[in-house]
Amino acid sequence: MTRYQLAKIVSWAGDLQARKRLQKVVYLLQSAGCPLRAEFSLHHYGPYSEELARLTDEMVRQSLLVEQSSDHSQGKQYSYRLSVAAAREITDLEATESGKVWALEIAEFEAKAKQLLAEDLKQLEYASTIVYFRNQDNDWDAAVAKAETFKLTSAVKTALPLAKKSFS
Amino acid sequence: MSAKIFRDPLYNYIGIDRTRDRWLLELLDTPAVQRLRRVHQLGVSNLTYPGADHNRLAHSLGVVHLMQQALQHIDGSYAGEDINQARAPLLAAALIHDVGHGPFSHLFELCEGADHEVWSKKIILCEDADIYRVLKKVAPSLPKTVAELIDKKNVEQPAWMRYLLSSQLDVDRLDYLRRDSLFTGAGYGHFDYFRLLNTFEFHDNPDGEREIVWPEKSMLAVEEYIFARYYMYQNVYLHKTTRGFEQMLIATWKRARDLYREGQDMHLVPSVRDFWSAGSPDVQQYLRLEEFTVLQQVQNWTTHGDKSVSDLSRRFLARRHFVPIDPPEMKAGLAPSDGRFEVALHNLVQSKIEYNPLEMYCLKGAVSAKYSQPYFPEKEPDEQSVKNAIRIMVGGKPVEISSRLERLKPLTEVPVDRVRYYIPRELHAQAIALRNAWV
Repeated sequence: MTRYQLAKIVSWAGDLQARKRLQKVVYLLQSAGCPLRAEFSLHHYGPYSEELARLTDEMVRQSLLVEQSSDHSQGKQYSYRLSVAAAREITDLEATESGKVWALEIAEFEAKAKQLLAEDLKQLEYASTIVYFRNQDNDWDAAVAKAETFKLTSAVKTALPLAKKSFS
Repeated sequence: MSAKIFRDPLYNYIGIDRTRDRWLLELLDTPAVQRLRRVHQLGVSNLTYPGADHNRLAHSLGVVHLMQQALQHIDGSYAGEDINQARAPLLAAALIHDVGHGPFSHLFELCEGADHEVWSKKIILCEDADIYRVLKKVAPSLPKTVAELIDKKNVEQPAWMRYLLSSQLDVDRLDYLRRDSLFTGAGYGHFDYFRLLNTFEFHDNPDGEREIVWPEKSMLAVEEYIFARYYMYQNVYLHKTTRGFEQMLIATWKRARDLYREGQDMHLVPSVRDFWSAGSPDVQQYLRLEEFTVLQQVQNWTTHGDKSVSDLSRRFLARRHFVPIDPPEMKAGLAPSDGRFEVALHNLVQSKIEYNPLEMYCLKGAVSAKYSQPYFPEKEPDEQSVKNAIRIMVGGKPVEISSRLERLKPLTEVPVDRVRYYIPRELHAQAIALRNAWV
């Protein structure tokens, strides 16, 4: 996944609340066919990409993203927005030939991304876990059953419509 | 109890019970496991650290020893059928977790694009091989269980078992950091492994998953471990000279393979020829690739008609390494580097007619950020799984360690991916001048 792509997703969110949200949205977009290359593996809270987490932190360190933390019931939660410099650079980049190509590659996923970014966090966790098992050649019923076993809750199935919407 | 004893420079005695764990000794005696004696733990690091000649078998026995200690600790504190059932899979996985490593360990993965974990699973599940037969005798499901345990992406086995075997604080790391430190003589990599192994606890989280955590009193031992890992990465694992030799062998190997595919006679030794000519090599073809095979192959290439292959082969065997050049610092931005320095460096190398083709004389090695970071923290409590983060019990709740130890912050900040070039020594002064002019 490129810095440009991550910057665009953050710009679509405006203010992206929670690292977990970013992880699940990128996974679901990837499963929907969006060309975001990041390797995911299944963790306790659903698909997780260390590569994506690293890229986020790297861009914070380089002042391309602005990170803020707030206290949450379980601990800290982080939010992200584009820095002024990065927002300006997106505009400049998209005026170049290669930037136009990069923009075009993900433009059709903007509406879906915005919809996913606004979803409930738990629903995103469940939906992405179902999709993870669906991506392993299970049909929807088997994917839900596996996700329920994995998460030890039948509440997982409430996210099936979202999972189906996010799957190509 | 009668134990088979192995003398080990790190633990003195490693014992395996001849009655209860006879099967583990049988597993040790299988050809695929014995082959690990001939796989250097640190690849070609012995070209930089002359003492680094230790092998994957000694490391694997060390991991078995630490797993035995961990199980003993669990036995003393917890009881349950699940613990009993976990013993054989964990000991087997400890012994054979590296069985899929090729010659010179991780270096061969870069030469052939072969993932050692994928090969480990194939070897364990190969029904015609001794490993499968030994495991199956213990329990019909054991080969599958062990293969799942060593697969980092698999979540079928309980989290605590996966954590012990493969996490940011697992028995594999506990052994190799101290072993590599001892054999390189680098003087880093020391930490209180005994405390870490004898103080961890189980914590059942609200989602019903059993986690491995440490009590608050072990926090400094964890910190010491993370620092040890940092020092070993900086001084041993990412040593620039070792990386240069790796790039030299990778470039030679890839060019020879390309020339072979174009139909040239590459003076191949039989096992390399079989491996390269097989569309999809099988387990036996893979296991026949040994370090002595690779070295004989490189020796054969020293007189090959392709000038670059013979030149780099001679340089490799005579330890005449290329010199490293770090590119100038670039301004951080959203677009990838424009590559202008690389083009200028290419032009410099190509200005010498004898340094041809370019890909053999301007070697590019990537230093992935994840290898410069000794511990990757979990920033939000539900970001990663129990498998990865190191957690300390504070007030009855598991807390990710970096949130408690401010001193870890510089080590856990994400560095950027870097590249480094390696060029013939004769061009060093000009390349440095080029870089300085860039700055």
